[in-house]
Amino acid sequence: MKKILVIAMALSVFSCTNLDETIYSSIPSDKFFTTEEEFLMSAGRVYSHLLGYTHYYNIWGTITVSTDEALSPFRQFNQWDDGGVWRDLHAHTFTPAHDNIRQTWEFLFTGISLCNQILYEFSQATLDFPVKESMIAEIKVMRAWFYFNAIDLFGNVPFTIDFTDVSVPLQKSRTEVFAFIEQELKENVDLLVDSPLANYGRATKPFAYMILAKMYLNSEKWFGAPKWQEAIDACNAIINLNTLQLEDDYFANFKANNQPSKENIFAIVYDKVYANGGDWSRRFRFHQLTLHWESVRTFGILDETWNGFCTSQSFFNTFDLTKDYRSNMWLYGPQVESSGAPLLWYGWQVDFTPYVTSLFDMSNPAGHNQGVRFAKYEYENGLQGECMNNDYVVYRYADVLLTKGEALVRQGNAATALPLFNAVRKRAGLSDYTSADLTLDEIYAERGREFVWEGSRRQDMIRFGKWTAARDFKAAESDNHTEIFPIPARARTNNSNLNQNPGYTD
Amino acid sequence: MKKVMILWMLSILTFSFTALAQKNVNGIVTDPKGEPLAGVSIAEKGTSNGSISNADGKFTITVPQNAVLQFSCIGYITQEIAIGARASLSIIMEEDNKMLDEVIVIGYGTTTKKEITGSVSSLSSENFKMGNITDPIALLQGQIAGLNIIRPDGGDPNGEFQIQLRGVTTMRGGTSPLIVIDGIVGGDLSALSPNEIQTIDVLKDGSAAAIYGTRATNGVILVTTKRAIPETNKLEFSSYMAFQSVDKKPAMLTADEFREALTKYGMDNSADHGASTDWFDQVTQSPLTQNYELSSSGGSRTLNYRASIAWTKDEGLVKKSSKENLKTRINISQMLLNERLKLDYNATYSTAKSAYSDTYILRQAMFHNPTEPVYADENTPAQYGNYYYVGAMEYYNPVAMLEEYEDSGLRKLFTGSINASLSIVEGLKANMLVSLTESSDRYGHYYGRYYPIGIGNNGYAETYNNHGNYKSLETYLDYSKSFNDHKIQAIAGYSYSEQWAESYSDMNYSFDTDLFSFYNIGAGAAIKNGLASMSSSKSSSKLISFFGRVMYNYQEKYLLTTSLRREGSSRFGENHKWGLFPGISAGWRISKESFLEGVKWVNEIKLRAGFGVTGNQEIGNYQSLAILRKGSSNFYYNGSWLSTYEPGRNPNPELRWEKKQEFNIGFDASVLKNRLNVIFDFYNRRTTDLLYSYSVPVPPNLYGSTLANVGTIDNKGLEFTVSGTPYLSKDFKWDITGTVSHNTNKLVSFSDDIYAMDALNLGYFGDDLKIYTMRIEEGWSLGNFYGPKFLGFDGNGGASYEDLDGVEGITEADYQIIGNAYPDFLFSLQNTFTYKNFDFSFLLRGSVGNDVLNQTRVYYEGPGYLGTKNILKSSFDSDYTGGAYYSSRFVEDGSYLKLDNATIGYNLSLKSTVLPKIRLYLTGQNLLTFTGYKGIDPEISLSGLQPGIDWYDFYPRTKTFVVGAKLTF
Repeated sequence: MKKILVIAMALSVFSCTNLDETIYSSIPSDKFFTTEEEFLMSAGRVYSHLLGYTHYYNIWGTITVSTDEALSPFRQFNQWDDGGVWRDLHAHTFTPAHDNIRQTWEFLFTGISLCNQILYEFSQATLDFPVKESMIAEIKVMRAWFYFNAIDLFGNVPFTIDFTDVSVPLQKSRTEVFAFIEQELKENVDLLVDSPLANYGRATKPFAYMILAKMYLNSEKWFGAPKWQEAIDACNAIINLNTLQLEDDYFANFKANNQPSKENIFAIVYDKVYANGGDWSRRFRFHQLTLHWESVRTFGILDETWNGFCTSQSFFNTFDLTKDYRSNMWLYGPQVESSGAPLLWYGWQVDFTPYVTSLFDMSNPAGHNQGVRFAKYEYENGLQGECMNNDYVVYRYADVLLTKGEALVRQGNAATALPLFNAVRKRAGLSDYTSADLTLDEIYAERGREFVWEGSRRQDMIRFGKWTAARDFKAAESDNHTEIFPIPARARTNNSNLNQNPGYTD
Repeated sequence: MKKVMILWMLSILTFSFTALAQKNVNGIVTDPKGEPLAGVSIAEKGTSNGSISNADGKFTITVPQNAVLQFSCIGYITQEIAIGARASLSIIMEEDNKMLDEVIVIGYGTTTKKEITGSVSSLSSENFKMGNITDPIALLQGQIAGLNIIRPDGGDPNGEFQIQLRGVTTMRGGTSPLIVIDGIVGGDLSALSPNEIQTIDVLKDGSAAAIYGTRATNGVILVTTKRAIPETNKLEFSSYMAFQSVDKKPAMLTADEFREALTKYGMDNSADHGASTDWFDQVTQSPLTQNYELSSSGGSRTLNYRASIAWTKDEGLVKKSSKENLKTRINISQMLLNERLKLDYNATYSTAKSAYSDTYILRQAMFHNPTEPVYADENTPAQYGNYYYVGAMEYYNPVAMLEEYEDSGLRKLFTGSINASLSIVEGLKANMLVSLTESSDRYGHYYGRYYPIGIGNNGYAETYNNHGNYKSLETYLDYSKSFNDHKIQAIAGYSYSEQWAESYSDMNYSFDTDLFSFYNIGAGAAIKNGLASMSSSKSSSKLISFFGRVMYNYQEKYLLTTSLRREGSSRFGENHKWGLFPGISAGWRISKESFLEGVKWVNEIKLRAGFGVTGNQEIGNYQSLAILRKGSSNFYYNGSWLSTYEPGRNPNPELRWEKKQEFNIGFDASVLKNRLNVIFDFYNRRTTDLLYSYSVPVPPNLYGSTLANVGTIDNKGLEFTVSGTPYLSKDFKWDITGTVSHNTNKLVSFSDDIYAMDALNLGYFGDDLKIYTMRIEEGWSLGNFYGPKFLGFDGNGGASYEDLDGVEGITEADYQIIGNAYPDFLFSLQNTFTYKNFDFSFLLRGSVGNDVLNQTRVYYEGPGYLGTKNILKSSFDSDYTGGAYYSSRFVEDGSYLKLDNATIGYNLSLKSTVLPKIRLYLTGQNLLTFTGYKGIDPEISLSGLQPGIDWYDFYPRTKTFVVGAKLTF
């Protein structure tokens, strides 16, 4: 009681009208940015933001399930319908209300806003430190990459590069933004390091050139303006750095410890300890996405797996299972435990069939064991927690070779392209192509086999004119409006400057 | 028949002979104006002999010489007359205005019932219902019109109450009324035993609540605790036992029906595991509650005390769940300086030890395949322990979940306060209240190695420790003066409060043994592998205010109350820290006007009108500041991992109060000698500057949402309370109280120039469906269910839905409003019968017109999940064979009538100075529910923005029988 009296007296004496807040567990903004490390810890948000890329609701899921390389059918018992988001992506029946497309949009534009904000912080810095200039260049290149993805997926997009401008951004055309990206990359590429291994998980010269190469490769499709030579030049710029090469083993690029890969140009660095914060959406969880719940006993995984994504039968059939080394990425047929004993469910052996009954049919759903599963990334024995340790490969050197090869073929220079393709073919254990083999359809198929679930298929399908054609569980489309995704309804509510893409109604 | 007649004749004769030894007394009873009074009860004191006055006020009674007669009548003061030698009496009954002089607590002082001008409801301890009630808020359930109290997890001893007063007034802020205990603003009612409460007053309208400013939007509940009665030594002991049983459980298929269903729907028998298990029974028990309380009080008028201790152990329906409460309190009152200074010390300390239940266990038990055995067979892999295991997604053995899980909490709460009141001169008082509240909470969870979620973790432990501190100072001057026909009462004061809270939590897994539970958290290996986590935080806030109130009346006929509070909160933006909260109300006691003076049957008629502004500041701390926080993930930088730091939120320097303006009119009437009382209120409340998280464009913003003050919600309603005494005689009394309330709401807007929202989709169903079931648009009522309208089954195993847009297929364009969660009206009816030493009371509560979305039916009525999971018996009622699909088929009329409480009591009064007075009682709670609703219970949470959804994570209500006794020495 004495204590209370003392407090009472204290209060009576000091009682006033001061309402300032005392902060304990966070930092007032004006007390930060005093050291180099503090700038880096703020700038690093761009890279930790990328951890969301592979989330199945995010960009990776959106650009993968909308192609023939992946589907998530409505299954018996544990349904995976999720309100139709997967079938709408796969069958191209998405609308501006599609939730995964919205999350994809938000991922990209949050990335852009982050870059703008970080660049603003750097612009305010009075502190100088050695890596300041290269860090600014990195952030600008990352912003260019976000914009590249944005125009690839959404066409005309809101554009701003100034964080201090609080007005709602105007929509710029794909052409204008293309020009910005091109210029931004060219202006900054020389400030970056040559080797991905020297700047692992961050922007480097090969990464910047790879973005350019991909932009030029798609230029004809996007604008009717072929830029094959520019694509070849960008690829050559990478090749001439001599910092990259094909790994002998295709799967070395996807191992649990794939950081030493000399082939990977840009990887999102996952780590079950450091890159696995409290955020559920920032975990690399291909194991949970695709594996049958019983498959944990095949790989010794200490977690639940969700029996969701598989590949389409027609895509699976493009593999020569006897010869193509890469087909080891697929789990098909009767499954076994790690001990070699049959993998049983209710006493029956789990058997992944390429055939899938239906994409969505409540009365006749896909079976729990249907669809071939994906195991290109190593599933680490004893994996605990929801995040794999493998780094997700965004771009790798094989794509440089095949991009250059494709551009050469499209220029009519198949002979020069041949060794580029055969280097990739050889590693896959396949016979060499001849010049006559290098048809666009064959290039398309080979790219498909090489880059399964690497986020390349959508661009390929559009560029090779396959996107709107009929395939498993999708009818032929009457026009090509789905080659650009709708601008999400929420984005247009928030920004009235945005016109919807053609062919979509809100 | 003849025998009966003879017996009856004999008894009359006997009675007559007895009467011969006595004498007849007759007389007349009148009121002060000389009008005869009918219905006055005349009793011979100390006997059962009695009579009643007739319409002319006349009575006759036969009594012995020198008897003492008692004259009593509601609305009049009871008189005792020794008749002496008189044979004829003329009695004038004095009017009893006690009811009108009843003290009402209004915050920073009191007033009387006749002088009150706002909408205030009161409940005093003699009207409290009995039963297994440990949280005093339950006392108010069904008692006060406009105050809706629901305990969504009915049978869970750790379940919270949801309180809603006069509709939904916020989208995001706090929804609970402000609790004021003995003047301490912001108290915790659950730490108080119901036995310690003298009165509860509820400030309902804005004019009454405005004196509490920024925390008063959801109403104010003022609790006054018991004090010693001077010069009376008293010891009370009370105890009860409560027995609970589950009232209704989900109607899932039994094992045999499950096997039939597999055949019916043409499925193979791979889902038949051969056993027969009632999973619900496996995880539930018949709970028992014990309560013991002791209180003692005494002392002189200038120094007295009251002390009490209460202990309750309440078991839950789900096995292993319980709550154990210890509540202690001491009060000392002292008068000094010639009784000019009054000091009042209060200290309460309480502990609550909880073993929590997980409603996910009940959900798993609900849909679990009844043909599975509980425990492992020879095929079960070793890593699943002794529990039968099926590897389907999100499907876990409920018994394993129950047995391999420990979840407990310990809450300690101390409140100490001193109130000093000094009479300076006649009519002028200074009052100061200082209080300190310290709270500590510890929670711990442990999931054993065979807990079916996260197999492979090898034991997973979490602990949370929170410590809170709240200090407050309330000072005011109180001046009251009467001169001629004028009466004035004024207060002016200053209030300061600050709180801080610290929390610490940690998580670790991979333990060598389950024996540590969470008590040796460092023993897990995950911390060595970098997979454990820990966190701590501290926050603080302040509230400062100046307030004043003037109450004036003329001849107790014209009444006026005005109040003003200027209040500042540290939580708001630099330019919006201070707010102004005025209240004004007026009353007119028409019954005091000359034209009603002569109207005998009218005792009181008062018209009231008021307007007041209140606020809501429950948004959390630091929301307006520009701060940096540590990011959740690291990034890889030149071979090592660096932390990330990010802004905490989009800044909004314009952040301010939610503001409610409320207009209230009402009348109070007491007629027929105060035997019939009516209270009526109409209110119209508008909340503006509603806080909500708005979706904003990125860029230019960094984050996709900003907390902003934008929306407006209107609530309008009527409240009606009728109470009366339909029958009264010397031995028998019947009291009845009924309430009816009606509320409508409308979301007026939730967009402005900067922040825009087309619609707000709510009521999200995850688990395969991933749809929103509710929607709010501008101009709509809140609580609308939105989806396809079910037309019927198509006969081919499917169903048809109304196609509004004419385009093939049911899409969002075909959705429409298919129901509303809010009731058209809520009502209650309390009846109390007293016969001699017996009393019997029962409370009926009901709701009309509320729709309930039955989530269990959405998923499990139909064979969609049959196989791995169980389905509802009602699946057989249709030929539907499709999967889970949301439509109006599952939005049901949830109207109900409940027999909420029935108590029969007996008061044993022994004529002895040593033996105690004894009260014995028997109570039934939640005895009967009349409803057409197909789920377990239609009384569903109505709080928040997604009311009326009967989630499949349910906790059934129980039927409770209580037997109790109270001994007073």
